[in-house]
Formats: sequence, structure tokens, C-alpha cells
Amino acid sequence: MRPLRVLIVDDDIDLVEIWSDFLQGEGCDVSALPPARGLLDEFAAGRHSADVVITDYRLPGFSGLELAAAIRSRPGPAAVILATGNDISKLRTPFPGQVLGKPVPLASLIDAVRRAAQPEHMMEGQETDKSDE
Amino acid sequence: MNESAFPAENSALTPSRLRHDCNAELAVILSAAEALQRYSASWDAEKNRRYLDKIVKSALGLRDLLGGIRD
Repeated sequence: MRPLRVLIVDDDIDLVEIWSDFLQGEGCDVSALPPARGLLDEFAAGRHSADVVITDYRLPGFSGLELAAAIRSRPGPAAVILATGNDISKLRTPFPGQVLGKPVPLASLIDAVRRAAQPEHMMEGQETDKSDE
Repeated sequence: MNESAFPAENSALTPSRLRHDCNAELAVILSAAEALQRYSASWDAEKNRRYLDKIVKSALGLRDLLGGIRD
């Protein structure tokens, strides 16, 4: 069985290194991309592929929601995990994947990655709390 | 996307922004500490030191964020 390909898109280079080391230690094939200009177009064009993409909500220039939309716009299965320091109970826009609240225990991170890689979890919509609207 | 998916994020110093930034620092502290618990015995001194440096850096960042709160 080939390793899970995990792509991390986050501007926190310390966290990216830690999570990359950890996920590699758990047998994943990990790569990382900084949230640079043009990245959404590159994803939409299928220039980056992974089984699971982990991203933050608040990124320079675009949001994790926009990144998920760009990934969904291309053919092929992919799962996106949103790991955010925001109050996830107040997320008003449905996110097509798992939402984790930072700080995330490493055990929860690898559990989420493995769960996300299950076919039934690929790009599933998620009900969110809209009580603050 | 013109409208934020989270409420009250238009100002740089909103509670929402503070929460996000504090949790980002905590994320590094927790993950680095857990990684050291798991792997420090198998890592060389340089890697252990780099992870400890991340914890210190983020703890100081958290201190600065909390220190910026005005009553």
C-alpha cells in the first residue's frame, strides 16, 4: 500500500516543519507549500495533487475555504482538513471536510488524516453551527 | 471571497484575531512538545534544540500577544 500523500498549506513555518516531521514518522508522504499568490490557480489547474490537504483558514491572500473550493474544482478525489485557530463553532460557511481547532494534539491530527483519506470522507460537506448569524 | 466566513474579523485587533494568533502559538508549543515526548530520544541534539527553540519562540510570542491586551 502506498503512503498517504499529505500536502500542508500554511504560512506558519514552525508548525509546518513539526507536522511534516510527525506525519512522515507516521508513514505519510508529506510536502508543503507556502500560501503564495497564484496557488489557487495552480490547484484549480491540477498542478498540485495529494490525498489529503491540510490548511489553515486565515492565509495571506486567500482563505482555506477558497483553497478547498479550488481543489474541489478539479477532477479527482481529495480531502481537505481545515486546521484553524478561529472559533470553529462560529464557522458560518460550510466547509467540505473536517475542521480541527488549533492547537491540535498530534494523535488527533493523524486520526483526522487517516479518516479523511477514507473514500467516504472525500470532500463531504459539513454541517456547521450558524447560531451566531 | 468578499465576506469572511467568521464573524468580526475586519479589524486587526478583534478578539477573533487575538484568539487565532494565540491558538497559532499554542499549536506550535503543543505540537513541538508532543513531538519531543515521542521522538527526542531518537533525535540528535541539534534537532532537539531546534524544537525547544520553537517552543520558546512561540511562548514568547504568546506572552507578547497577551501583554498587548488592554483592560
